Amino acid sequence: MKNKKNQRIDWGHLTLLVLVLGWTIWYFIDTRGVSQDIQNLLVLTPVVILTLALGSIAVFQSFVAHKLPEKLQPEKLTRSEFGKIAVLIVSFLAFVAMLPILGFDGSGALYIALSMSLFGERRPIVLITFPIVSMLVLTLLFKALVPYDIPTVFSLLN
Amino acid sequence: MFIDFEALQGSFALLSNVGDAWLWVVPGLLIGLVLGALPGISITMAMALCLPLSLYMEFFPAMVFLTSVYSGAGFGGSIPAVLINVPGTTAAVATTFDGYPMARKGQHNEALGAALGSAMIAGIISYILLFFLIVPLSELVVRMGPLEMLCVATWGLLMIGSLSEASMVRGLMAGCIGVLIGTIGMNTAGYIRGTMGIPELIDGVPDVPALLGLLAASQLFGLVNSHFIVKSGDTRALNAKAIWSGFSEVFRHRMVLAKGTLIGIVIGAAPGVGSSVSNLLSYAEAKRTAKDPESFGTGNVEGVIAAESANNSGEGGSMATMLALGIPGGGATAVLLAAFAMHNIVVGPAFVDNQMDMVYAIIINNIVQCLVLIPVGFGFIYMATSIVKVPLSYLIPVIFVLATFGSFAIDGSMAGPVTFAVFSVIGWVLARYKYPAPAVVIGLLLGGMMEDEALKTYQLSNGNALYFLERPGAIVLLILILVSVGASIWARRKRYV
Repeated sequence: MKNKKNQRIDWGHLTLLVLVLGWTIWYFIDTRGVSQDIQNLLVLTPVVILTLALGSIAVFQSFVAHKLPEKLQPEKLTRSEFGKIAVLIVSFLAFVAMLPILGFDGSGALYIALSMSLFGERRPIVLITFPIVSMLVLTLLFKALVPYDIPTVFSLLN
Repeated sequence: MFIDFEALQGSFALLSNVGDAWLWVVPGLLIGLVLGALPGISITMAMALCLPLSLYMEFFPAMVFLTSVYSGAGFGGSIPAVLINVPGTTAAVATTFDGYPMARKGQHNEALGAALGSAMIAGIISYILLFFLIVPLSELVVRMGPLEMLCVATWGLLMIGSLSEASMVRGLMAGCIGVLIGTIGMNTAGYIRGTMGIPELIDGVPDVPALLGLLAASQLFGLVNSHFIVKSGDTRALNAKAIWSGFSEVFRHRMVLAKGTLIGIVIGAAPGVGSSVSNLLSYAEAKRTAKDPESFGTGNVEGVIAAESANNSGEGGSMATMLALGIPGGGATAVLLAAFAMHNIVVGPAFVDNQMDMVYAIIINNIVQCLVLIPVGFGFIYMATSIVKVPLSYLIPVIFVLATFGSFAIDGSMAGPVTFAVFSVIGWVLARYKYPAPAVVIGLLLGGMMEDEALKTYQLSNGNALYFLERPGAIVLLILILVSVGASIWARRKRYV
């Protein structure tokens, strides 16, 4: 009974909507703050109104989540499955954040090794060699193709 | 009759005199396929990378080489779109909608075969039409003003409705979010909005890293609990017969191909629009007129054919505008224009009048390239499909790193990787709560364009709402949109009654 009651409100969906609608309102206020000229608001005003109208229907849906059809329910994940996805996302964000510090090769090799271990790879030789070799190949390939300096461990050390 | 037979004869003489030029077709196609398949390396960048090489060639071999890269890269973008849900170029966005679900079902060989068949046949048709219609088509295109472009953008946005099978509310909302994100930054009237003080956002949210994040991450993060892209071991095999079977599917869906090709040619010819819009429009049109529209998005080969035919026929359309008017339809034709200039050749109306034999030779060369693309592309996708045999523990991290490199490669700044990371998270969260990520992508790609064209129309018309009555092209497009939307609503009602 308690479990069923808990499912009534989809807190995850509600949080997402609060963030999206909050950003929409902020964006509109920011736009109006810049200028109220029609050339600034011509497209944004109707789109913001439509977003808020649709968003309010979606907010209502999140309060009656248990009544919605299966195709609108989020995929059911166990705590371990959800945890794995969360760690994968956080490690990816950390990889991008570390790019200016460790370079593409260093940061990428660490990220690949960590992700592989998340997927269940346990052989140390594979966890060391595959990330290093793949990052070496990718870095050299993009260095050859791209006309910009790609930050790498060595370029950052120099 | 639109064909100048004397010039045609001259073109054959020209082609037979430069036999060695044909040697550049296969290398050009292969370079294009490899670069096009790399996320973040756009067709324009692929051609720009090859431009210096063409400096050392005679004019015609240089054209053969560069247009081969163009053809190869146009198709190359669809390979990662099918196999890993990462479109190699923006022109392959709609290919992911059904291509990737087909791959997940173990029909990757068929999906890629259908993509190759559509690319090849649509390419040939577009160039044959170009043969006859180069002058009238370019005259039509030059008459498309901001109001007509606004209609095209609106038509594309209406496609969001067709991507909202699960919930119209969530589909439309996702599209609106995309439009809002697409309008961040400075608009054409000079107003800067929503940048949060971040200078990199003044030019708007970088669309390629954003769409890579939205499309790839919405699917790939969730695969952490799987072992392979294709679940069943039996269907993971590389199968030339299945690739051929997918290729021949194109002949069974001739109407889808014909409509996609036509949409691709017309939209591709319009300067500044190109294949990134035409593949979406063609997909929407195929879904609207399909007998089983609900199967779109779940792995319907018609979706792949529609997207790919429009994607590749756009090349013919943009070549028409470039050759006849000297106006580049997009970045790739701008590079071609630079190649012409480097060889002291100025394309445009005078070029078509005085050197029609050269125009025909370029068109014939492109038709030959499309034919050569069959064996070259077949071999390439046979090798590329081995990716489904790679365990996800190796594949997923490398895809994310590759896409990060690609995001950086666009302008060499960290704005690309950061945008990719942010939109990866947004994509996964939206997909989890059944907001279709492709709808956000469409809004993002077309939102900025819609605002630009709406503003230009407003400025041209001085705010007069009846301005559209002075634009017959816009009236025709408006009627087409109304008929298309009305027919969609009618078909939807019939399905649910």
